[in-house]
Amino acid sequence: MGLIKFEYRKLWNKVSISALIAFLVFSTLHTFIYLNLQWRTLDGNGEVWEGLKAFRLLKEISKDVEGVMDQQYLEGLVEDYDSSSEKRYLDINGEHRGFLGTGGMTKYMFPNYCVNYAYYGPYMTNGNDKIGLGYEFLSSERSFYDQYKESMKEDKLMANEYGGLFPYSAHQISILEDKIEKVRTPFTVEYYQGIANMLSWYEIQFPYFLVVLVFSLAGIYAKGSEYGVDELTLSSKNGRKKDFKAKCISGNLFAVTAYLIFVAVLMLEHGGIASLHGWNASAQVFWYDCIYNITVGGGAILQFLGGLIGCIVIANLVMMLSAVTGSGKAGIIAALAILYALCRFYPSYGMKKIFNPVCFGNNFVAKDGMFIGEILVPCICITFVLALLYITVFEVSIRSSAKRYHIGGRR
Amino acid sequence: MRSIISAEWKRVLPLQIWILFSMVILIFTVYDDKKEKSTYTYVDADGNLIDGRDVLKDARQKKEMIPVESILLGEKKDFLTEESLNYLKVQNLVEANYSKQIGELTAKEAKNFYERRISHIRRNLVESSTVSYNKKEIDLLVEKASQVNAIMIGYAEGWSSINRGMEKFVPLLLLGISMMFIPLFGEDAKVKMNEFIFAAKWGRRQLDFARIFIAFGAGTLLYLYGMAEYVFIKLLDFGSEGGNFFIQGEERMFFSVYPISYIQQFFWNFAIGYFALFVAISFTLIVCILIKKTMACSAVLCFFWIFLLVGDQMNLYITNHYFFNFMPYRMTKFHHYYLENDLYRVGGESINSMVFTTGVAAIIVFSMLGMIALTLWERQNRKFVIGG
Repeated sequence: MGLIKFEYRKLWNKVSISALIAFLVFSTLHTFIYLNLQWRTLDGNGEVWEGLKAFRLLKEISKDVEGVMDQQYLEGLVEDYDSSSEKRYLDINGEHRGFLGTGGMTKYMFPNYCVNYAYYGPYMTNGNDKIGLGYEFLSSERSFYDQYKESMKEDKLMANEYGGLFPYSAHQISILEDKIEKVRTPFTVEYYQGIANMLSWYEIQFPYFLVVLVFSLAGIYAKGSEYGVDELTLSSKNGRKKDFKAKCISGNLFAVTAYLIFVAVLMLEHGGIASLHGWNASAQVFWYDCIYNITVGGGAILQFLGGLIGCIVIANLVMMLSAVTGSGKAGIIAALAILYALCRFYPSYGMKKIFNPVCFGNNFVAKDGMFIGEILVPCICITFVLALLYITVFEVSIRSSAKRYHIGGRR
Repeated sequence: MRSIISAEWKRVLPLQIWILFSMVILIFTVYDDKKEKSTYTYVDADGNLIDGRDVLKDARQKKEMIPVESILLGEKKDFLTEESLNYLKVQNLVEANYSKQIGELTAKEAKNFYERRISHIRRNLVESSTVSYNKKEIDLLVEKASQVNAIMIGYAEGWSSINRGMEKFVPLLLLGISMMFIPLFGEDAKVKMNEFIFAAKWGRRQLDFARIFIAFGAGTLLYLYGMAEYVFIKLLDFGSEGGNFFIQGEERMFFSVYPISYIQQFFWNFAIGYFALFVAISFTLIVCILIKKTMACSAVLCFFWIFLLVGDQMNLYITNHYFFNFMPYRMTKFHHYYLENDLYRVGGESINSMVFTTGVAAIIVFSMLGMIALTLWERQNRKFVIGG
């Protein structure tokens, strides 16, 4: 335990602290500059508010559309929207036709996009043309949710056709249909823009966060680095086996700590700008094709958990490269090259991405499932199993490198 | 001094680094060429897949060049066969100008080809959502644009490919070169240099001067070498024909207001890239001098470049106009100089972004050098004890 503590302390050195601070500065600038300059809110008077205050205003005016999406809610929503100034402003033939696709926001985004998904299904995007409510199925709660589930089914089947690992069998389709039928209705609508921003920024910045791990852990088994391996380490009382094990555990602990700092900073920043209100909203209001009965908050936690698993996999990969190359610089170059290849060349669409640890932080881990035989397994469980597999392979490589480790010479 | 420069030069840029540098450029350029060629691949009317290499080979063999208006007026009908590269080029220009197919053009429209282009440019300037141009500025830009009066259609893929590829190649070249100089002022945990430095015959001042000289001198040499290798491979692969054609012959540059040829565009890009290199090297030096540790410097510089990359992807006019335009990454995204017509207004004068950016880059470099000199001077005059 003492050894792990000391190895962990060694990992908080000038390199890792510089990398983490540089990353957090980048992350903060990216968040504030973009949210401040691009986003704007349309209020009920047809006025547009820009800058960070736009989010506070949106939260305030969105109270009108919060509630349970039942018959009464849908009737009220259609009535309110039809008589609203927002409807006139967002007219697809008007001069503001590009408002919603370019960072524009209105309180009607939260319920109306969900309703529009029922109509558009797999073709749903955001934009002025997909905010209207002129649909017959809105005449009753039942017909709306029936239509919604039909669209969800169509969406899932199309996703499988174009990006599935294998085509669904008839039995699998029936299991999927059952699962979709069990999606709990009516949905709860809440303002969730802060959480949406946070998760969106998280997905963008997650690969860059992994660069912090590369710089921090690439020297962990390097010869001659300040926190790597030297003659003293190898001739210590505990021996190399225990020391290498302690390094590995402390490396993982470091990865977890750095990741928690990253997530905490994101939560603080986005909570401060747009608030993290909306944790209890139904996941389907945010991820329209989510087949699980979870809330937006629950989904966010699952996504963060997926990211944590991905982060640990990459941390072990970097440590393995460090042990194999025995050099901090070579380890960094190799790890950056692999990261780049994973981000640039590995498909980030369809279900193939489930094998890519850089994608473990994407929203599919929260909202999707994958068939293993006739069982629909949540993606988060699959990423967990895959992570165990990857880590085992890396661990075996580290141990085999440890056995042949020589200071000051080539193996 | 010469011996110090020689020793430091060998330390930072050994032969292996030069070989690696050449190999990386070779691999990048060959890969880029392969990708470029694949963009010319198409499926013909009979459903056959025509390889991009064959398309280029065929176009190069013809060695013809004809003004676009002659083709549109039907004076050289035999020049265009539907499968040829020249047909595709003319089609792209017609589509950009008229949103029509070649066959749908009337004789009047074909005659007014350049007027139509100018009217598009004027309308874009008047309706611009980012810059509000005054009448004088619009007239000036339109006047420049109207000097393009003979767009030639013919084989110019070598130079157009060089100019397109420079947007990917130059940022990577700059990143690579600037990263090579991290060990100049960065302290490596393995190499205990400080003890030697303080015990050196000529002291720290000359060593620091030699290192700054190497950074900019070797940077220049590497830049020239890298560009030469890149251009040589490209021209070897695609040929050097058509360098004197107006850049407007390429669809994406069709609405550019600058009446320049591909070769001129290359030299403009080359010069801006050189300024950007100096900015990149200055940043590297200042970070290394302040942080000292090689690995920590690398991490900070890595995130600096990531920030520039993400900033460019955000593509917000305000951030670009006031910040990213002067940073090495966006400085080398050359297309925006020719297409976005961004202007800076200083003392009642409107300056185009190409000139203003390079001017500001020069000021940034001198400011950085001043900061470097001050930091080093302060460090030289500080009492220093090894290990304390």
